[in-house]
Amino acid sequence: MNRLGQRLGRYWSLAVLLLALGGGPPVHAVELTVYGALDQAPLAPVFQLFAQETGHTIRYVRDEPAALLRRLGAEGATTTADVLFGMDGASLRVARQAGMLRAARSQSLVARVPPRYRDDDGFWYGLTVRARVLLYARARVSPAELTGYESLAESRWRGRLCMASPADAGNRALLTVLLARWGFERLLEWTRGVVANLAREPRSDDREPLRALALGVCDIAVANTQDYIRMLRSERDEDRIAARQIGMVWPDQGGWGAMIEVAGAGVTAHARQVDAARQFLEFLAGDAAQRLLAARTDEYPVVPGIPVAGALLDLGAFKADQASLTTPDRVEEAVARIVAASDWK
Amino acid sequence: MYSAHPYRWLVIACLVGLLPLLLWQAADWAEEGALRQMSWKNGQRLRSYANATTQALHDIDVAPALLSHDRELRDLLREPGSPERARAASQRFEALSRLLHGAVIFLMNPQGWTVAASNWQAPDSFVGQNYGFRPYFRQALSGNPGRYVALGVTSKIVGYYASARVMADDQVLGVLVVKADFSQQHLLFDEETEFMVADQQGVIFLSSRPEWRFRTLQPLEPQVREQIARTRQFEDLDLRPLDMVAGRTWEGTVMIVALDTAAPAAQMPAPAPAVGIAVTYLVQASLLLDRGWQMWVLTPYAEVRLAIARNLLVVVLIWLLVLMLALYGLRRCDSGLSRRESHIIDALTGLYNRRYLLDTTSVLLPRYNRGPVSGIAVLMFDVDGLTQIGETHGRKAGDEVLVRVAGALREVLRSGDVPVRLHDGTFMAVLAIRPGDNVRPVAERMRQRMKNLRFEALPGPLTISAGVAYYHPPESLDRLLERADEQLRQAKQQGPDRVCAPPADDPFGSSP
Repeated sequence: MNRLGQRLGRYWSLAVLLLALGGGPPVHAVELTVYGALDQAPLAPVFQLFAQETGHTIRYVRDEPAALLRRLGAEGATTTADVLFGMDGASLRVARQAGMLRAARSQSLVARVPPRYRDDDGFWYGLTVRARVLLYARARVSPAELTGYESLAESRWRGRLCMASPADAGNRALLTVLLARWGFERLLEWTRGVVANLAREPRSDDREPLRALALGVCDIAVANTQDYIRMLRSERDEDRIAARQIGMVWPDQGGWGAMIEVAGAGVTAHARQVDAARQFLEFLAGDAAQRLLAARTDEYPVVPGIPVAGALLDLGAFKADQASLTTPDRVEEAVARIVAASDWK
Repeated sequence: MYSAHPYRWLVIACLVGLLPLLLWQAADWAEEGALRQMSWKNGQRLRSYANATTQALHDIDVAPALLSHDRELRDLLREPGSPERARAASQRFEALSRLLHGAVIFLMNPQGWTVAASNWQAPDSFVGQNYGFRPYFRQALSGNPGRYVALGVTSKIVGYYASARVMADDQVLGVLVVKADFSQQHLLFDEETEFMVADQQGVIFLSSRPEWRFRTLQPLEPQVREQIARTRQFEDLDLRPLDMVAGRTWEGTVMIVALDTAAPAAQMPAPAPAVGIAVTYLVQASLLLDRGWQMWVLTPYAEVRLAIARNLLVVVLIWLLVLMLALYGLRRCDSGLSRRESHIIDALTGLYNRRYLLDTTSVLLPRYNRGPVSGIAVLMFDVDGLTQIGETHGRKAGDEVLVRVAGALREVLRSGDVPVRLHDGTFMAVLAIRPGDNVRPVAERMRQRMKNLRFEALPGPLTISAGVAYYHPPESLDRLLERADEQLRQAKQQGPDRVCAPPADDPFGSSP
């Protein structure tokens, strides 16, 4: 019995040694709670890889950006959320202004995410981008008629334009960028022209304009590359057939470039697992995660040189607007005034 | 008596049937592994090339904006007629050009005329030329930083142009341009890698293969062709699409593409008809969003095939080894059986021999009245006149008789009984019986069965003489056989064609 005890003791020591050498799960593995605006299913391999690399598991709560912000605001300091993820730039800016995020300073994030895709103070980092593009009905419109966002306000499109409501994150971001380019007066004039051109009452869902375009409600529309790709690759035959009738134009390629919208993440102000949350952000900006995100989210990776998905490559290359995505606070206010003044609902 | 192992062919069939499955699975794994490894490697290359390109062009990108704030340049543009100022500016550009690795710096007035250039002394100087048709000029005038790739109108060399407008008091005075020679940019890429870099229209302006340069990734739309012609971006080159067939996509970002590697370059004079040699490549591409370029890295798919072939070879070798081991094992098994069988089986009749009898019965007798064995009897018989048959009709006829007698004996006995050929024409059977069972009927059946056998060599029926003995413990096997032999001798004396057996309830009975 004594000998058996000695033998067991030896094996136990060996097991402890192996665990210490990394043979077992990390000692400080935690569960991170992530509030995310992107669909969960395509992200499963990303979370799985994160768990493999760090031992930390992810509890993912999926909702729309506005709903997540409301929830985070209501929960306050009692929130269990450690990371806000997959949010558009405007929502991230709102979250920062509302004190919902904390700065996550990281050399690796700063080195990998280009400055224009991240908050200057490290409150949020862009991970993928999508472009705001012009779409047209191939049968009724020549692509030469559409050059840039400016052309959307031209009178020839009267009653022929489909666009989501200004509450849509993509449209808000577009207005913010155009305000920086054109100034208040010119943007107001453009917005009035756009509202006059609308074929029907705008809806908040960004994919609605695409469907409306396919149904012949309008001749041109504004949407994200992501939504166009999804329609092209839809499992529904009618969506794919409709998508083939729709052409795409990269706007402003002779000038500023197409406006791009970021999907990013930040560590919440009341995160309990701050280190693990920062680690998660660093992981998401790493090569492996960026490649998975590029392959699975129909978005462009922010890290330069990461291969893009074949479906996105089929759309061709484009010049992206290089304006910073971190806009001054007052810009949001000005945009709100323009929307109100143009009666865009 | 050699017999092949009964499972020999089953084992071989299983192994042969398994081979295609193994090969299929191994090919699948090998392809998956090779694709994973190569895509990772190419991804790293793309990252590195994208960074190298960005770094290499960084100075060119920022130079125009920095230089545009120069007061002397503004003065020159305000007074365009001053040749002294123009020369002074050109001389400054010439000095700065050395810092930018020989990039050409030139200043254009709002009408697009070049008023000063770092190559002012060169025969093909830009001074006095109008490049107002170039997009970088118009972009800069409208306040956007111009970034552009084109074939030089004068130099015919691929150049990268960066531009910025020169402003004073909210008035646009002109455009400052830096043009870098882009023909050597392939040095950023390692020599082993196949790559191509295409502009926003999909025109390949940089490639590891000269025949891919100035081809396009997709057919150009008429309006794009018109725009290229208007801006003289690639002068009069015939921008034809690459002969490319897209195959499947792996993990979203890896494309398998067949590309024509032998098509003549578009800029060659009098292009011959393309005689394509299609090579399949693994392609990964990234977009340089700040420039509108796409960068492709290509690896011949042959490397994947090589990895698959290597894996298949290993699998086949392992399979062959397993097959040989299996065959060797079966052979050893077979020869072991054969040796064991020849030890206990009579080679002529296939019945057990005396050795087996001794081994088996010595095990059987102690188990008498225990378990399933509750009684044992021995039936021993001799073929009458066997010696005479042999002498008259030959050894072969004698052997035939013995073989058929053995066959008849097997037929008469039940499955648990043990048939034995003792020697010459003497056979016996060890019968498992219940106490009180009478074995005489078995002996009689045997005798009758023999009489029914017909031989060409024998005019009459074959007869046997048989004796029966019942085992009575604790007598030895020898004693049991001795008693059976006594009964047989009695039968022979009284015979031929006779059975002598004691009554079933009188195991030691000496009377027939």
